[in-house]
Order: sequence, then structure tokens, then C-alpha cells
Amino acid sequence: MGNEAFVALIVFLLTYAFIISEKIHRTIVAMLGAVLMIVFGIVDQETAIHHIDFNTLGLLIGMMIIVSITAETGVFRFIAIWAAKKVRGRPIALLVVFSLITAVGSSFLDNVTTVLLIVPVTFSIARELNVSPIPYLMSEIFMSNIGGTATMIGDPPNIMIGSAVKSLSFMDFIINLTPVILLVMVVVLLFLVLLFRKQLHASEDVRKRIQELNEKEEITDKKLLIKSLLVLFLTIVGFFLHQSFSLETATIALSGAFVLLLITGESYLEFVFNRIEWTTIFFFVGLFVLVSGLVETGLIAKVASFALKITGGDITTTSFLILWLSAFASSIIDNIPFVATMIPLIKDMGEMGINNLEPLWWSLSLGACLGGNGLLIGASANLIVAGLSGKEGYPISFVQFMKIGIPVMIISVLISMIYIYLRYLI
Amino acid sequence: MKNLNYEIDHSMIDLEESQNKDDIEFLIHLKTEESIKRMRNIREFYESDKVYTDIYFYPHANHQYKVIVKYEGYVPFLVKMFQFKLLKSVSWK
Repeated sequence: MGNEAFVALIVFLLTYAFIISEKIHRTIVAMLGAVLMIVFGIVDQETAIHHIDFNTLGLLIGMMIIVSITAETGVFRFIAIWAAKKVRGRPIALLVVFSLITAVGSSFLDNVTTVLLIVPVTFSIARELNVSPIPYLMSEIFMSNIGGTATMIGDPPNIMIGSAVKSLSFMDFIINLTPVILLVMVVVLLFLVLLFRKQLHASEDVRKRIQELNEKEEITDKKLLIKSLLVLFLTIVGFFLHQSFSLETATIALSGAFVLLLITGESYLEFVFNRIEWTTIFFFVGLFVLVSGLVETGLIAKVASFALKITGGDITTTSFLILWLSAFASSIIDNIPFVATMIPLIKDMGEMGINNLEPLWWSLSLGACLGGNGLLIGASANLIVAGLSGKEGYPISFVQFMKIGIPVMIISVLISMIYIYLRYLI
Repeated sequence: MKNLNYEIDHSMIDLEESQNKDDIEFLIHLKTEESIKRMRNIREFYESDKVYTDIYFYPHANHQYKVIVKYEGYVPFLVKMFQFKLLKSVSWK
């Protein structure tokens, strides 16, 4: 290993260690790690900028703008109350519909945004039914991570994979991931219903209170609702067709975002720019540059070669190794830096003789996204919901989460493993 | 609450108060467009603070609102109603 590679590895490992320790904000750590890669001459500034994936950043920013305006209309609360009334406030049915709303929401929106929209209405409905909100909150956490795996824009690992692998379109993610995610959702929901069924009871009188709710009152601005839903719909249609128009998904998302700002007026401009999670955006920038140091010094290629030596270059073994490694790694550490490191590694495996990389990409996506359900620290949505729940007097402990999270993760990854084997490897 | 008096502005709202374990429930009938707007403002105020279980707003049909307030939020809620002129007065007994 040359000097440059050694320095790059030290900078990378130190940065990773600080990200995991959470002593300093992850964005500051990642950006400082990236700066060190340039200062130590591992990569020059031009090369570093070249490694930043602007499609990932543009897609994230565009969707954050659209969702922040749409959320202001009260539409998500409207849908939740409407659904609660449709199932007549039956607690178990509510668990299912709130989980499905979260899963569908997460498949098109950021997971954290989705849970932040569903959690307040969950507290509200649970209070009216005199039941604990914890089963609902736990189920929403799991479903946000599972639902987010179904599409290219649902979870950062998929955005990163979709942006890095130009041959994979938005439709490819739906065709390849949505079927297995639907299956995972059904099985996990059955598991959760069985687990929580004894806690979810409400008398007929109490359930009547849900029927008295007026969901229409939740819509705060009808004109804004129509505009934002129209743009959201057209943006999603754009994602389906992006390859036909030879457009990147970021172009579609940013077009939708700025058309929405054009028709809603300048008053929303300041508002949405305050809502964009710049810390997340810069976290990505830092990671892309950080990983570029490993790529440029040939370290990634060496690790890829080592991994192939272990698996003997066998595609089945390599897929399963990536799937389970991604799942366990993502249950402990942030899946964004993990996937940022794995993407060039898998690309290098392609150059080393593995002809069909598709099962490896889907293994990485399924492992990295579904692994987030294993532990409380596995995904941002987990920590945010648990934090809110604790603050409101319903603490979700690390162990309490793990007892349900680990089985959910293992069930999900096992189903994914069988799916990958049957669909791509025989 | 025994130690607080409040006077309802009946041209704007009708209000019934009841105790439910540790919480206090209000059933509020909003009589005018203006009172509906003011109640939305009050709700917006409470829902913007990211504390979700101190107070719950349940809109019902016919411009009725059920509001459930925790015991410690009772006085602040009535003061807020007073600030938005849905109550004419609030005073200690």
C-alpha cells in the first residue's frame, strides 16, 4: 500500500469512527474528512468535485422543496383521518392502514418527512381511542424503512445507487424492488399484528369518536393543495418517463420544485429554503469526496478484489454476502456512508469479471434499506420517532426496539434473499 | 378548574367543559367565520411547537371542535382563547 493510500485509509477510518461515535455532528465530520483528503493531496479539488454526485443532491433538494410545500396543505392529516374513519376506528385495522400510509408515503417521500407527518395524527387518534401509541409508532418506523426501499426516490441508498448506475432507471427500481417489498410488507405487518393484537382494543363507544371527526377541516389551503398535488403527480410521472426523455431524475425533481415555486409565489421561496435539510446535503458532499480518496488511491479496488477472493467470484455467494453485510452494517451505522463506499466497490467487481452486477445492486439496496430496522440507531426515522415518543411520555428503549426490530430485519432480509436467488441467480 | 373564572363570548362560540381523568375536555361550537378563523390560528399556534400531546384538536362536523388539554395546559389554553377574543374575560377567583 502506497503512502497516499495509507493516508486516505486513515482519514476515512477516523472520519467513520467520528460519525459512528456521534460526538460531533456527522456533517461537520464528513466535510472535515473531505477537506483533509484534498489538503493531504489524496485528490485535488477538481477531482473531488468530479466525484460529487449532483444527481443525488438535486433529487434530494427538489423533493424536499415539493414535500415541504405539500405538507403545509394538511393533506397528509386529511388522508390519515379519512382512512381511520374508513376502518371505523378499529385499532388493529388502524395499525394496518397507518402502516400502509407510511409505507406508500415513504416510497415517494423522504422517510423522516413521512414519519414527521404521520406521528402527530397517530398520537391524536391513539389518545381518542385510549390505546397506547407505541405499537403504531413502531409499525410506522418499520414501514417507513420498508416502503422507502420500493422506489428509486424512497431512501438515500436507492437514490445513490440509481444516480451512480446510469443503466438503472426509476422503472427498473419499481420492477425489481416493489414486488419483494410488497411481500415483505405483508409478512411484517402480519408479524406486528400478531405481536401487538392484545394491546389494541377499543370499545364501540370509543370508536364512535373517530367517526365524528371531520377530515375536511384539516385542509388548510385548497388552492395550494391543488397546485402542489398536481406538481407532485407530474413529477412522479416524470420519474417514470425520465429515461425516455433522456433526463436525469434530479432534473425532473428540480423542475417540479421550481414550477411549484413559480405557481405558488415568491412568499414560499424563503420558507422552502429554510426547510431544505442542508446538513444532509453537505453530509452527502463530504462523503462523496471522502470516498473519492479511496477510489483514486486504488483502495476500493483492492477491497473488491479481496471480497471476490473470499467468494471465489461466485455471483450467488457475492450477492448474499453483500445483502447480509449491508443489512447488519446498516443496523449499526448510517447506511449512507456505507452505500457510498459500496458503490465503487461493486463497480470494481464488475471490472474484475462479474458480468451481471444487477443482483449485487439489488442486494445492496435491500440490505442497506431493510437493515435500518434492526436497531434503534439503524435509521434516522427510528431515532426521530423514538425521540418524539419519549418526549411525549411514551419512551421506546433501545432493547425494546431491538426485540422487535431484529426479527423484523431478519424476516425482511430472508425474504429478500430468497427473492434474489429465485429471480436472478437460478 | 375551581380557581379560574372565564366569560364566554356567546356571539362567537358556545363552550362546554368537562373533566376526563387528568385531562380537561372542551366542546366548542364556533358560530361565525371569524371564530372559525381564530380557532384555526389557536390550533396552528399549538401545532407549530412540535409538542404533540399537550393539547389535541379534533374538528367535528357543523363547526364543532373537541379540544383535550392536559391539566397543566388548561390555563394557557384559556388565556390563548382570551387573546384571540373568543373569551371576554379570564380571572382568578
